[in-house]
Amino acid sequence: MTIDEIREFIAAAQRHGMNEAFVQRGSRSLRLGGLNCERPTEAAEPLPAMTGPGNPVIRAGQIGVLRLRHPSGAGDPLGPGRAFKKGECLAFLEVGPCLKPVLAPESGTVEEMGAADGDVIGYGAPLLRYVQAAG
Amino acid sequence: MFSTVLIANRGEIALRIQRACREMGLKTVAIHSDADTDLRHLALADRTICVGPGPAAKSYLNVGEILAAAAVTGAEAIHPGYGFLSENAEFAAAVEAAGLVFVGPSSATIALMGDKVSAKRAMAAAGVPCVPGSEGVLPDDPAAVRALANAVGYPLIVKAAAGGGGRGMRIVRGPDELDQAVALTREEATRAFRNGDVYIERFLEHPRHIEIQVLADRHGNVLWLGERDCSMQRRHQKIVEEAPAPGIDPDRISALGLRCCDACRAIGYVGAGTFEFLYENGEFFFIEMNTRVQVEHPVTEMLTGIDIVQAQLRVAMGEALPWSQEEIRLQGHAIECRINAENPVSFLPSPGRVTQWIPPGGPDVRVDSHLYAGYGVPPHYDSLVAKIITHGSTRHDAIRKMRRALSETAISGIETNIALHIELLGDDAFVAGGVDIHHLERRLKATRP
Repeated sequence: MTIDEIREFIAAAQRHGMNEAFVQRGSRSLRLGGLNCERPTEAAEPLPAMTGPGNPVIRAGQIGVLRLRHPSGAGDPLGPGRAFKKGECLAFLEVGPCLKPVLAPESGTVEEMGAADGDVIGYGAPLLRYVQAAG
Repeated sequence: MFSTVLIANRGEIALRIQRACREMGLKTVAIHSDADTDLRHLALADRTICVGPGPAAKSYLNVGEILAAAAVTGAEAIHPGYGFLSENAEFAAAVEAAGLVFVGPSSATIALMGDKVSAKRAMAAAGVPCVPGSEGVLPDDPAAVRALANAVGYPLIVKAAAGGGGRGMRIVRGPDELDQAVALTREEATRAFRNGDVYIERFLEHPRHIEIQVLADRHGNVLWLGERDCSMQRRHQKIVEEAPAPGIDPDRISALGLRCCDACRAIGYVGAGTFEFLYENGEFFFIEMNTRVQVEHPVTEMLTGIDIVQAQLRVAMGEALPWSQEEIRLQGHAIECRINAENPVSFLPSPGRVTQWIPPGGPDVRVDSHLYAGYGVPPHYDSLVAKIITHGSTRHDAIRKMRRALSETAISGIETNIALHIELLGDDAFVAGGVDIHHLERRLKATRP
């Protein structure tokens, strides 16, 4: 199935009020869900990039809206290549007036981000993958 | 008014609420634990968010994270379903304090009815028949307790004021057992509920469990939607529910229903609720009120045609109930069998991956279930996986349809109690109608030595 075919299929499914669809062509199959949701449903499973073998991942221990820098603007926003030390506040999870810090469990360097500034984050959601500092 | 509802529950009731919201055009936010990522309603909700790890204490009972979930997703109302936080007055108060709508009665009403002693006092004041007992919490003085017990009469039961679900109870058959029973129940209640208050009531030997469904709005309208007979129980957990209650004079039920409506008005009750009674020798005795939707609500829905969950949501939005009591028609007979993921003999839970799920169908058969092939029943929660409800023109007809429905239900990968249900539907006493709440335990003892 090409991307255009998938797009066309999704549009048709939405026109007909379908929420889920399963397509099979030969030995290949495709399952689509959340077609008629207001917004895409949060991935029930973590992003593939964050689940495979490789470097460690920092996950959210609580719910909140991800803030990659303090609202005052202090500090550099978190992103790939940024080095950090154990116990450093990497980001915040915002709930109403509360900012809950995301602390680094050990020293390292950000390899890739799992979520973006402003994303609604659930418990256990991958925030970033990092390379552990040598030694 | 609100347009987005957070469903603070899981399993079949979460799916039931999701369906009601969808039909009403309401958006939904479905919470889940990280052990529950494949729940059926998550695929249908507008948004989902994980609130914590598998154990309920850290997820479905985590008030702070559930409120945080509502805040970050913009939910304006919270439907608690049943179990978990549905009858937790502190949770309801926190929801109210956050400026959100709790789909249920006020926190003050939940607190009033959550305390068995204050609930009984309020019901007695409203003219609802109660079991004779101590008028309030037992005093510390053992001599005063003995005097109260003598006045109530033996056998009696010592109950924790904050108890429920069969916990915090002790039967006393004579004065010589009293002191120790009171002391032990106090100690158990302090440990389990952090409240050592206990009270006593006359113990009924062979009662039936009869309950009255009510609906009340914010405009003073209160309806009762008939009764349910939930006497088929094991360890205080209902297994089969039906309506109407076989063999009880409908006029007496009707009088009781109207009393329940009066009681709702007296305490300012809003939402769906259930008055639970013990019935023995032609008399009803109030035991408690459940301030939420019941597992067995579909039985009443089948008889009345009223969608109780949608009614809860409409009442929470401030709408008036659109029916008068005279318009409530109870038609035919309905039975519900609770299908649990458990061994039908040992009753041990049977979590695991469902490899096949073929629900029954056909006329007058309803299935409320979150099951599907491939779904994993987690070990952390209640074992209820499906409710099968049948409706017939008569009780005999409803039983016949239930037998047929159960016989065509196929679940593989987990064990269920379907075999027990099939056995019970052939039980002479059940078929005759009117078994007491100890019938199933007696039967199991006799047939499973």
